[in-house]
Amino acid sequence: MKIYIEENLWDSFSFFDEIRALFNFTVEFKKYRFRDPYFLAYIRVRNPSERVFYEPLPLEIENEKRDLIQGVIYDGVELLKYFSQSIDISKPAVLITNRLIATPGDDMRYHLRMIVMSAAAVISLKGILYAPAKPPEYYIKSSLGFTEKIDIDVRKVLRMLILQFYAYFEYEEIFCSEKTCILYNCHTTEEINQVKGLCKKHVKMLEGVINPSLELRIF
Amino acid sequence: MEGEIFAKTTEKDVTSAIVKSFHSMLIEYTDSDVIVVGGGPSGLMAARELAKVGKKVLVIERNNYLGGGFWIGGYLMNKITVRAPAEKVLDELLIPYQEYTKGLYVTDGPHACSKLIAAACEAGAKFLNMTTFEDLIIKERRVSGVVINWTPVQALPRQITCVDPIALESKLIIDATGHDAFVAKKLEERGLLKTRGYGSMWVEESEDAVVNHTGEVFSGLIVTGMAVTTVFGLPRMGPTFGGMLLSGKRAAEVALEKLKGFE
Ligand SMILES: [Zn+2]
Repeated sequence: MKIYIEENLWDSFSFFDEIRALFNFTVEFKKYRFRDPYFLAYIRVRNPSERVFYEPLPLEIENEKRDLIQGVIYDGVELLKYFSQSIDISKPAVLITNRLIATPGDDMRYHLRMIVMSAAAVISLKGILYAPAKPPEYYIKSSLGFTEKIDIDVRKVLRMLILQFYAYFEYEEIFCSEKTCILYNCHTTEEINQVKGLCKKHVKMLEGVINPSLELRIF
Repeated sequence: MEGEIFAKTTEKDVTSAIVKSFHSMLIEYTDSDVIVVGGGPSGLMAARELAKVGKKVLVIERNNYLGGGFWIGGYLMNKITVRAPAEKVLDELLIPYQEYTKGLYVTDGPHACSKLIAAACEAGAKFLNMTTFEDLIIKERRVSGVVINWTPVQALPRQITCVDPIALESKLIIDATGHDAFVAKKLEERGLLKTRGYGSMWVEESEDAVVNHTGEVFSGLIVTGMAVTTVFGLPRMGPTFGGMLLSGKRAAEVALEKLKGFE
């Protein structure tokens, strides 16, 4: 398994050991940089209800070059496509980025995502904070201008997402229906809190490749 | 006579004082360095920064009052919040505030807004209020002025079409018209720019995004404040005003850099 960390995130990234500890095989970490600032400016999400791309303005390309991308949202599908084409995807590969990513939901509107996956995966660290739905108080306070601390265990969610992608890549297993299982597809902070470990079925499936401690339900 | 407090004057003098001083200002400002369209927090901030260093700045405001949304915070409550480092701007303008939580500051809307307006005035910016931006002057693919009219003209019955606007020239225009981005939209009408409309997804970093994307979007046109979100299609902002103030400052920096090309 190869985990790519976007260059601008590498120095502050602190979950190397936690990710290594997930598996019985070696996890390789590598720096990654998107080579095409024009493309990144092009695939920005502009309108939440419309999947439409615009010719970037020069300032947008300039800001991409300088990594001034706070608050910018990218089309997750296009970002993943670009990443997948730039690396070897015969083995599981994940990009961890600080960029915000969104993809259209069933309602045809863009929603922020923690992960977008197919043959490879892109995980957004900021998405882990922003994408899961929070209790209503959070939104009320935010709308009044208060910056509420987001109560999410990033370490836990990051490990969940990597295991979810791995299960999908190796076993084509798309999520688990059991709410306490690591492979459950969480959409809210409350659901994340309910996850305890792998269910019996998935312990069996991943036996041998994952660290045995994950079989204990103390995730 | 007892009780007589004020100096004697005539109606004629009062009228000519108003007309002559307004007239001479208007004549002087038919040509300026920068025209700021919109007198909200970002526009006022940009105007103040530019006037402070001696640039000739005219602010166009469609309302009678200046300050835009800066009088009032979220839910019509007149408390204004800014996040660090924007409290430094409050320090600079001598606006008192309190730290609410680490990095979040709260101040009184009326105090903050009136100080900002005063700062722009004292720096030397001039104002045309009750004045609507109608169109842009574009020469050789460069914005070089605005067409304006009195705001009440819009309310006249349609058969009265004789109230023609006037044009003012300037080296640069700053669009500080909020989410409407009226100035940028005029370029769009002519097919010279494509604005993206602002998003509804709220993210904490949208203020950073607004400041980072404040800049020239067409030769001679700089966007600032909420207009930035509309032009670039950035996520919505919450009701904290630091982004507006810092965006105004950034717009002024960009303008000063561009004005060097005219020297
Ligand atoms: Zn399971």
